[in-house]
Amino acid sequence: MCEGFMKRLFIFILTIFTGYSVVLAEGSLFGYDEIWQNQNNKPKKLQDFSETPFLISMVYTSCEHTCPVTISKIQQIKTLLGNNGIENLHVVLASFDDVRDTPDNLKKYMKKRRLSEKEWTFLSPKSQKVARELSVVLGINYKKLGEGNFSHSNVIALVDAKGEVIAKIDNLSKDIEVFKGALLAK
Amino acid sequence: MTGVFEFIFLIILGLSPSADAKLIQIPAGQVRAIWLASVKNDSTKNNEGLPRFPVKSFYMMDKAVTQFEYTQFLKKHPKWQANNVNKLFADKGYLDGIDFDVKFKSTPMTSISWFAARAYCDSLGMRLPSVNEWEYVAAASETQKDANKDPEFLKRILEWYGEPRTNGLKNVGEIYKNIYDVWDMHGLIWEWVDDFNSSFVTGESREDSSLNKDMFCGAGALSFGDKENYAAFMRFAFRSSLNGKSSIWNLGFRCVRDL
Repeated sequence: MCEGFMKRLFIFILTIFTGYSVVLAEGSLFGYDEIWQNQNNKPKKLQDFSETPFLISMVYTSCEHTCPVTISKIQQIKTLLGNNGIENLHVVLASFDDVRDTPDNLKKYMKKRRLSEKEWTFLSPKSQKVARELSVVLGINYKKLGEGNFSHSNVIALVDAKGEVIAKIDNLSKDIEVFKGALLAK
Repeated sequence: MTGVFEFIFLIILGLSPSADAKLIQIPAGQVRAIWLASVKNDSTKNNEGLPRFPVKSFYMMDKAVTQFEYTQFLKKHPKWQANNVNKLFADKGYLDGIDFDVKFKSTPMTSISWFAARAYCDSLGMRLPSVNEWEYVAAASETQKDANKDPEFLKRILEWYGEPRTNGLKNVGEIYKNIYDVWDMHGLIWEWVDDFNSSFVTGESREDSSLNKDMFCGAGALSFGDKENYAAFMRFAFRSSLNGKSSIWNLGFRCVRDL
């Protein structure tokens, strides 16, 4: 209780003296507070990734064509940023597929693709409703087709520690230099 | 004691304006996907190659949600008031020009974002209809379940779309009632659907024609099926121009519920 009080007091003082406000910045993704399950079946909100900037995209792991391309594109972005002194950028990949992409299956997929948990988090949605809301928040179009397939647009977004999207590509053939520019400008 | 609460609850329920919005049970059926490319990829006038999707039976509000009903929601959910709303969930048009002082008005609620419309339905234990559900009900005229081949019906819709709206919005329940007893699926406002971001008409015809593979995963979807039904094409083009924050003076909504 004391700790909670001190925290509130601290925020109060911060608000008075620095104009810092606990109200989320305009359009911060952290206003979206749905709970997802990560590959270890732990509940996660976007805000849980707020310590450092991170990349976010949506995929479904049974996709044989574009999703591996999305992942390799993200790896290119990570390499580019790594070469410019920004290492170990975290990646959050949220799934469209509430049926097949269970935490267990996501974990298996990560092993198969050799994606370390230190740098990658996969998120499983509990329903289509949850996935739909995140897709709208991120500006991703998608449609559930038959037989566990999804048709979707490919968006990769770079989110800063406040939850603002500071760079984004909406097409996998777009130049990834925008990510470097956005992070180095920080 | 519980009985007293239940009694009070029932009174509140009875007085609540949403009790006016009747729920209509829509029978199960199939929706002809006039918005998808024909399976046979046949450019003749024959629509029979269009995919059909099954639609389960569901409840739908017989009228669009009104401004008055939305006012009641705002009182209970102040975080959706214009001053409080998170900017992630609504753009500048949100609640713009909505005259909340006029009570018992049957003006449809518009200038509302997808997120807000969804939150409203959620507060009633309901949801927004899917594209399939909405188009299924909207295909019905006064006399036919699927009037999408009826040139008279299509002509009427196009005329509504083209009507200048200088006098603002009409009231809910004044345009027409279809065969299911659902009002104004066309002619009053545009309506939000839950998966509005599931169609892939990008607005740029260059991109539409050769559906850019780098942009979209998954095939199928994407050229328009029924070339005759220009009205439906307009709806899909309109939807794909929206994002979740879009709050537009003639875009409203109604809610549905599973059985």
